[in-house]
Amino acid sequence: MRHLLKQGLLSVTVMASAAIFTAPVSAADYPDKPIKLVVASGAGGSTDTAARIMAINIQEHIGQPIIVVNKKGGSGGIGINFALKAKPDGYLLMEGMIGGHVLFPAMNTSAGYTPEDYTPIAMTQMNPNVLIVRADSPYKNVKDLLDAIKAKPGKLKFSHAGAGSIHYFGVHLLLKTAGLGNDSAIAIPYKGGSKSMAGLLRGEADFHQTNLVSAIDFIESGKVRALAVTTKERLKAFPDVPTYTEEGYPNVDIFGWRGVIGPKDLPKAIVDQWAKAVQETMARKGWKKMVKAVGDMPRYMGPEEFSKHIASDFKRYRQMATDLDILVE
Amino acid sequence: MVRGRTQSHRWGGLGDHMIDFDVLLQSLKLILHWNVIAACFAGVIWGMFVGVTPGLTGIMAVVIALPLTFFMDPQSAIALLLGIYVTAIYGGSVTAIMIATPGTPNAAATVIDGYPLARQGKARQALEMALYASFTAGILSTVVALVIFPIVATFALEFGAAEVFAVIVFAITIIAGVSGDSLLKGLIAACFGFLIATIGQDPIHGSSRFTFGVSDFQAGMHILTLLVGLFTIPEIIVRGVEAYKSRDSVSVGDMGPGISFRKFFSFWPIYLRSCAGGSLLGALPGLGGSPAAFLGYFLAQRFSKTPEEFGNGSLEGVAGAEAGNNSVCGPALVPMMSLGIPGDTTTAVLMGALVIHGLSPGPMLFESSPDFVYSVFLLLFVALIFLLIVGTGVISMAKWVVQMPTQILFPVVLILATYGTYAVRGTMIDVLAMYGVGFFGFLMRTQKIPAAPFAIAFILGPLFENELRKSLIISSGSLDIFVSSTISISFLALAALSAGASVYLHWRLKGTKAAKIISD
Repeated sequence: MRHLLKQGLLSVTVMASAAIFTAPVSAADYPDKPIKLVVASGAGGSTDTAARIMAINIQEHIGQPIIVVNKKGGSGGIGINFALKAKPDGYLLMEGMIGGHVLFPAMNTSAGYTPEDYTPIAMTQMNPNVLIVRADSPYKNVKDLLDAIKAKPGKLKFSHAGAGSIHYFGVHLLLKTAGLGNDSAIAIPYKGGSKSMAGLLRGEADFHQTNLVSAIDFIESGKVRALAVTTKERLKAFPDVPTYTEEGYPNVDIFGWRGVIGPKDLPKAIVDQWAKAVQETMARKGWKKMVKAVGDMPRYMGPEEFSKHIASDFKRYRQMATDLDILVE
Repeated sequence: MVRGRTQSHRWGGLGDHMIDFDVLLQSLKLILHWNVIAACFAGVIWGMFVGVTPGLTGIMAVVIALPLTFFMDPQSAIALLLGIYVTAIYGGSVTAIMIATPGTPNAAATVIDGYPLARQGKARQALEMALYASFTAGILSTVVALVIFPIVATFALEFGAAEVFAVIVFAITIIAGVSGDSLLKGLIAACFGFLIATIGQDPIHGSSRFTFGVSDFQAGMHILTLLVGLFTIPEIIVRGVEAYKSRDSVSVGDMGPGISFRKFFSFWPIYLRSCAGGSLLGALPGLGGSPAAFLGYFLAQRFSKTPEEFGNGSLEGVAGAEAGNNSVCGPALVPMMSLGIPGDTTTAVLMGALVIHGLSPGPMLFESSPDFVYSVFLLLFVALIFLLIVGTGVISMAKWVVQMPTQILFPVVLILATYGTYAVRGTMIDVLAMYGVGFFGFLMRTQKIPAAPFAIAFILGPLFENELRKSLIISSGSLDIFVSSTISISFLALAALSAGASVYLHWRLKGTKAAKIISD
């Protein structure tokens, strides 16, 4: 028991020493103690991995250790609400993600926050989406697929990672842009991206739009066929796959992003200090290599550009959620 | 496309060949480096520490170690993580047996018989049984995974929503097995579990259910909150009252003798059955170790000559549960590495670690680095051997617990339970909920309503709901989907058989001596 007790006490001490008691400090001293980075999703997920990659690379540039804290649940709402309660002193920031920071509040008016309630600091990476069908599918391009949906509305199915996920909004954005109704294709929800991919492979769904990183392996191995990507230009890795712009749907430019976000009223000095540190970190070879390994594309946006991007994303998805009648109140 | 693959190539070459022994030998070379072995050992130590500390789960252990692996070579990185993975699943059983507190959710089924054994002064037997069963089943299931990897890489894809639903329906019939003497009371307990499991976000529409406007409830109740509340708190209340009444300083005082090899060996059918069940659940994405533990427990009981001992300290129960949860490890890696679909949260983190090292799991991995794929399974064997060594050390330290008088032990357990519940998600709501469940669990106990069905229903409820609703969306509301494949028909038939047998058994046991023993 002494053994157990010792372990218990040790862990308590570790936890306590990791905890940060925020106290007012002037920006000139900032930062003079470790900084918490809240990840509003499960440990080990792609956002968590992105945050940890950022955390270990940025320490040198910000001058203090970064402690990653996972607070998952409620589509990111729990962790973000937790982080937004923190004092805006720069010692508690968030790993920004399109799901929790934009899509969840866009479809949920009781989320407890909107982009007005936080301070975007910098975007660090993005992940384009790709529309895919199984290799044996009769649909060879976007037009084939949309024609088939038009011909038999309510018959074709698509798999997605839950209402309010980028997979879900992405397909609806396509349907809407093509002038098709919300019910023209049936949405089948799965728990997470990899399972919705499995749903497509298994034949439970006819098509699927997902992050490029989730699909790369399956496209390369010939199990699925990519019909379109959401980037403006064709991707180097898949020169044969057309963009939505080429297919006549430039509006379908949805892409996932990650970055650093602070609570509301974060002092400008701290925002700028972080944005600079993020830029320096992004120039590191190690960071780039790791980010590419997880399948994201490095993409920097400074505080102002990032704020504008988030605001327009939010407006768009709130409108879509209203149109789709999935707005939760 | 790349490297001349054609569509006739199933899964990038998988399925075309059995184990390639040349590659196996090459992969052996990959892992026979001191740094790889040392990383694995470090993982086992860390996994054990986390496993025996309530509130620190296997997934947290793996995540904390994850950034370290960014700077390691791929073999060392995966060795470290596999060491943690395997050990944390076992580690939870130590506290489950000694202080009725599952260190990790995987150990929930181990409490049912492990703790009564410790109370009877047979702690050493229970701990050794748990360790040896974990080791044996771990080895068996890894062999299964290694041998069948090339053949059933696509196995997980055979299981659509309707098939997984059928498996879950079958698993739910386990409830009857852990209901004690009254099936009705077991079902009542299960209803509580199903109800509590609905708290949180609706799995399909994302709307809030029973959250009463509290944002922390959005994520539902955490499994450890429920398990600690259900198993630990009522025990503390009951023993506390006992100790107060007797005004005596009681401790179990004795670890008892260890388990003989003959006895260990005599349980071989249990290991095989648990391994079969655990391997199946492990290879299906999203089910994880706890259902496998309960399935193993259930199978052990169904085929036992002394089913009435289950719940009152049956070594077979401990063996079944621990063999069940450790059988998940190897097979859970199969869909992760062959399809890029992780079997549970911990394998999802392992997958993240592989990705960082440029080894992207999926249909391409086996083709591009077959030696690496095999080395992962070989490392599982190494990790299991270390588990055996470190586990033996931990058992010898467990005597401190039995020698400790109740008035010191239980306050300590209470602190660990409280801290552990808080540590999982860092919210006081969880601690309050844990005590709420604890008090409710105590009331259940006074009415002789068993806790285990509550836990199983809580674990399986969300899976049941999700797969059922998903299946019906896929079939546009038609029930035909559940009888449209051999797999789902078979499992539904098994479920019906199992449920029927349970009802019959309960009916036959009623009024017999065995029933009396259970109700006493």
